[in-house]
Amino acid sequence: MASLSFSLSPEAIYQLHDALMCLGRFGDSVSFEAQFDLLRLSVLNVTKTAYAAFAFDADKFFESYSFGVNRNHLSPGVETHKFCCQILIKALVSVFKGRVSGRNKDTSVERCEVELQDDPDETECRLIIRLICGLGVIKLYRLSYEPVLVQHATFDRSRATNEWSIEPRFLKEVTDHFVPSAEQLDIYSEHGKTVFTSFTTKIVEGKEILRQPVHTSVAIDKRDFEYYLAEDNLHIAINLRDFKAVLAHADLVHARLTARYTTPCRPLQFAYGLEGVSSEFTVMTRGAAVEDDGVSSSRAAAPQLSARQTPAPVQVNQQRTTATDASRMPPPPVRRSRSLRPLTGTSARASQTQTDTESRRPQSPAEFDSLFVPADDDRQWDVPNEEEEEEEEAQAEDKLGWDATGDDDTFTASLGPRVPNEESEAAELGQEDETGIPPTQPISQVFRASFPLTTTKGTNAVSSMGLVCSIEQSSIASITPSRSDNPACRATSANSHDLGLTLRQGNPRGLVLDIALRIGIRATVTMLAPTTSYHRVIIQPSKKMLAAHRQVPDFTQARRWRKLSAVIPAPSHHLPSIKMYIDSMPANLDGPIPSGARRRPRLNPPLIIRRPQHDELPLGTIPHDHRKLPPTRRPRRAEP
Amino acid sequence: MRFRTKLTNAETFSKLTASLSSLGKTCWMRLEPGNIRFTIIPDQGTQVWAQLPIDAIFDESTYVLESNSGGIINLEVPIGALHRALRSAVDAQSAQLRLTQKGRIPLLALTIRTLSWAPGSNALGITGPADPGNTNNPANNTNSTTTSDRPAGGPGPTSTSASTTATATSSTRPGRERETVITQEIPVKVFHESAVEGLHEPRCRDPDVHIILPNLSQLKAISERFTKLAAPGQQNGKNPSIAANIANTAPKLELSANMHGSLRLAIATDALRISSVWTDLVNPSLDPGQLSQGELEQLPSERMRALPSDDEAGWARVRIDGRDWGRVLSVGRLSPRVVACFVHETALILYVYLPGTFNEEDSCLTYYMNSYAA
Repeated sequence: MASLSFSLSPEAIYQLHDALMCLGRFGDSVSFEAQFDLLRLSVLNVTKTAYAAFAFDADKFFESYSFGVNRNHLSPGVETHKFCCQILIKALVSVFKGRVSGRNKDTSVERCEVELQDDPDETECRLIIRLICGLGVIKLYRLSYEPVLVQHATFDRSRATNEWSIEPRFLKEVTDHFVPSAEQLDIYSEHGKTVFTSFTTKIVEGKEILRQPVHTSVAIDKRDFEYYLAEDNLHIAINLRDFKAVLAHADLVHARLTARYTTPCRPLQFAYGLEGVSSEFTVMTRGAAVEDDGVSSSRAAAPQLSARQTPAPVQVNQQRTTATDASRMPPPPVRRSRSLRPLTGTSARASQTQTDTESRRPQSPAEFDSLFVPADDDRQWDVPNEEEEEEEEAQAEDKLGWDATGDDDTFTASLGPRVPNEESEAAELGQEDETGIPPTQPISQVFRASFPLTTTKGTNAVSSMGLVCSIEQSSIASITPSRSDNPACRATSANSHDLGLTLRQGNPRGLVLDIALRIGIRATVTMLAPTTSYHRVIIQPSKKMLAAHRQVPDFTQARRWRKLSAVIPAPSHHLPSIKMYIDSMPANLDGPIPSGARRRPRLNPPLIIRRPQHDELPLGTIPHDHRKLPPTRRPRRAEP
Repeated sequence: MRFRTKLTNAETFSKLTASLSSLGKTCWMRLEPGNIRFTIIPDQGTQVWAQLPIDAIFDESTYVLESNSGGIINLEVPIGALHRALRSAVDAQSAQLRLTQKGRIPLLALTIRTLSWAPGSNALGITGPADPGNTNNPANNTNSTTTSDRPAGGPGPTSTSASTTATATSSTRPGRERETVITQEIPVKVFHESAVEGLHEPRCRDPDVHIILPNLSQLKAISERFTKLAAPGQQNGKNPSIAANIANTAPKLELSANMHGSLRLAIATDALRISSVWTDLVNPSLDPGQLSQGELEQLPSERMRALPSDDEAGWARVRIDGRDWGRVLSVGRLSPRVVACFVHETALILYVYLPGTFNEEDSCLTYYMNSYAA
């Protein structure tokens, strides 16, 4: 049970209003995070490509600020250092709106007191705003909030290689030249000039030349910047609307804007500070991904993005069901979240295990459109006896794409080497193998566990059953997983195995394999290179695998491998093996995961990994020990 | 095919495109050695045929036009986008328009160079030495021309103070001139000459009445007021299909004029009838050089002139759509001289002469409006 109350001076109300207006351009509801020394308001947009946060200092911004947690009522596991909730921005803005104008001098606001009710004795989930006006007028607002676990975009400033700072009005002049319909903004510099180009990614029919968007590029002198420390000719593209939202607020408060970024397809952060307020806007960038130089583990762009997102649905579900138990994470993420999220902040450990995988990160496809597998190419993989129910999904899945930027190493590194207790897993897998798994696989939902096996026994057993593609290190390039005696292991399914393997097997030839994956729709089996260790791919039937009690998967007719789009953990009784759930792709990029997959009852909710949307931000909850500004600086990295 | 020129009068060009863009989305732009023509032929509504001499908006000395079809280039231009792009050029020091191509898409590329004054953090506003990194700037050759008119904005720095504090420029940010280069690329379509051969200006019989319109802003305000008054009540507006239906059958503005300097604007519905009358307007006489005396007397306008001013038969009347009329009147931003030619119950033709051009007669926008039946 947390208690939070603070009061604001009229000037602070204006600032809060401005901040809320700015946040309102990113999303519908604002997240409050109260800590002992600050209050943070943040918004993560629906597509998870932009994150805006204002941190108000407890001492400087507020007239008074008190935050406390009653530890007696705490259930174990609840974070004690902060309280998080979510409120609709519209409601908040309307509270403070009109107060800003201050037309009526007599009854203008003199003070604003905000109090949070989180007590079981009182009406729960209420934020009470009391505006104390002149002539004894008191305006009282009771807003409902929703306890949530706030997600954060992670951005490591120390690793940002490019940085510039400028007066926002210069940039505002730049954006004034853009057509209103422009969606994206490309930034680069050359010859002492920085060029801002607006463009639109909307695909226009060939004949409609006149409907093509106007491209506007504005070149300003680098001297207009306070400082400009960025690579020349490095094109970085961001969403123009987000950019304008940032500019509008920065210009309003006359704060100097600083941008930090590394490479395209990695987050970019705008930041500026005021007295008692620090603002941060982390937006995802696009552009030609730069080949990773392997220097920093934080460069792993796409894996972070995809994997980082993982816990989100779980958390949401948890919140809905156990509203008060806000911070209790589902069991799987405890270990998995670390392994799946080798993020800037948490990657100290991950980087050790990832070092061998860093160097062979595959070349990333530059175009984000290449995310999507062309529908035509998929045909050849169709299996004739497709069930009707699959057909529906198939439409959505035509857009499926694995691997936007090809950074599979997250999976690889996290799932492969780091799993402890290999022996027992091998044993477990062997056990599964012996349970007579049908020879074919339903590809619509696939469970795969790729552990380096220490016994060849398990591998042989599995492979002979067609469940597992085991690829021996010594085998030659034209690797054909032992499936000769298995009628179900036709090229299609074999390919899908291999493709699956490449996703998570961290080995020095991952690059080769990943290429095969990306063109996998066309590739033949023989194109796949051998891998260095054993892999197992276990395919489970789509509908049943989510039941927690099922340990033994049964396999039916193989379907199209392209139904794979996400991974969930598989059940196991011996140890928490890495489980992955393959979810069907939503047709809408930003849409939710098909509800069917999410709603299934399960004791142990799986992690749901959605398609790697590489233009999303890396997200995560704020670490416990994180108190200081800026919000995304993560001291935790130093921890073992 | 080549087209390249500097803009001399970006503001006029911008205003022109603004008023044109209210009538249609795309514009046929015909570049000729001496003239530019803009034509908008919407599916419904007013046609406009505009012709301007090159020097009205372009710099004749830099005007380059080459093409296989007799030095004429026909373009289809999204006029709204062109206008939006030209807005960046209004306050610019220089602007260049050229036809280019990116990939396979032909473009009108508008390159605009603006200069503005950036106040520095040191209060004196002292300029430092030129940035050495800027010397290899490809735009430098034009830079030299633009820097000559340096005191365009802000406090002009004195050369003496610049020398004294040149060392301080590294730590403090001096006020200085900022140069911004804006490139607007407007996708266009290139027409072959044969594609536009069949397009001709509308022809109609000689007008019954020609009269110089009063101030367009006044006319526009009153027209819009009338249209609003006569607009169907809001209770009908809830159903869009009904509203659209009503829009088609909405009362039309009735515009009439006689050869005695009177113009009448009226609207009539079941509930109301209002009209405004302007008097003492000018009925310009036709150029006697073009017509013989006999022809001149045969003209319908001369017959109308012969009728007495209080005779209702001396009025030529057209009915036009209020919204369309409002769009046409948006040309008023150019503050032109407008001659309206009334063809009784048939058509209204507006000759819009742009002011301040070298040869006023050459720059003329012609609007053709059909009259609705009563």
